[in-house]
Amino acid sequence: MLTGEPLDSAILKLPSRPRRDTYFRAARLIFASDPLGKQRPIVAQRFNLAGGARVLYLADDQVTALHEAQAFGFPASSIAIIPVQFDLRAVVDLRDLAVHKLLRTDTAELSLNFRSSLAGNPALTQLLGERVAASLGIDGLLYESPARPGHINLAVIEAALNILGSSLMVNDPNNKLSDSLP
Amino acid sequence: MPNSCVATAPAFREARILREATDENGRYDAAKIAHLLDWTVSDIARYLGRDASTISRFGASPVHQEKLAALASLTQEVFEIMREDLRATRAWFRTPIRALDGKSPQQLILSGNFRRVSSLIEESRSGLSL
Repeated sequence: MLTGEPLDSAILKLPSRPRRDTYFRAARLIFASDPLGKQRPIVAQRFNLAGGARVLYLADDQVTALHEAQAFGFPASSIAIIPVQFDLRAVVDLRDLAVHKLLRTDTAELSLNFRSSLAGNPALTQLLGERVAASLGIDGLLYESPARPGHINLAVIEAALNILGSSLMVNDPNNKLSDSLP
Repeated sequence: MPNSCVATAPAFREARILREATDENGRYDAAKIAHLLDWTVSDIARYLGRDASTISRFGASPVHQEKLAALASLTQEVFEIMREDLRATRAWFRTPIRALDGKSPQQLILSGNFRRVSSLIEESRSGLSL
């Protein structure tokens, strides 16, 4: 994958589309009262570094979200699957071969486990996410669910929401869950 | 009054792990932590980078305290996630986990990758996504 200035230039050329849908966020039940994770610590994840960009991770359906959660190995722990409505203006599909070509990457590189890089350099997906967040022109990255092939995850780039006029909402009055971003 | 009950609950839970993992002087004891996690003394010796016979004799030595405290703290966090179920906590440490490339937390800790396991627990506070 490209890095540095060539990556920044490529990000400006990435094809993006608006996307509006309801996806699902998996969280430990104890944190469900903060459904959009506004109070969450920014730890290293697939498209962000520890203390870096705020990126919210969603899955395309409840089962995919559950598969993602199960990959942490907490079978005895209660998990909340929270429906999140989103209306994003500039989503880049990282499964698109044209995007691969622009970024000079491939499916294998994009699906690497970023946790394997913790002891060394940041993972390339984390560098990509951080530069995308800094560009303020992209508010979402779609990618294949590592836990459930054939399904997709969405990384919401929170820094771009205000500028692009995008929004996220949780509206579940039966469970007293209500919140929105930005 | 209800507030004070809520406030003391986490402290009580923490005390349970502390009691199980420390000796009468309040020092973390390698053998006690091994017992808590159902690991062998050889396992805990490997974690500490020492010979098992040394650990059997000097398991609560001041030189081991930092690493033992880190392991006790991690155990405490997993114990809380597992709703204070010690059996589930032990099982989590020895179960291959996809987010850890199919390795078990115990395997990673014993091979010097403690940080990868503690990072996963930190990550679980932020959301559960591969």
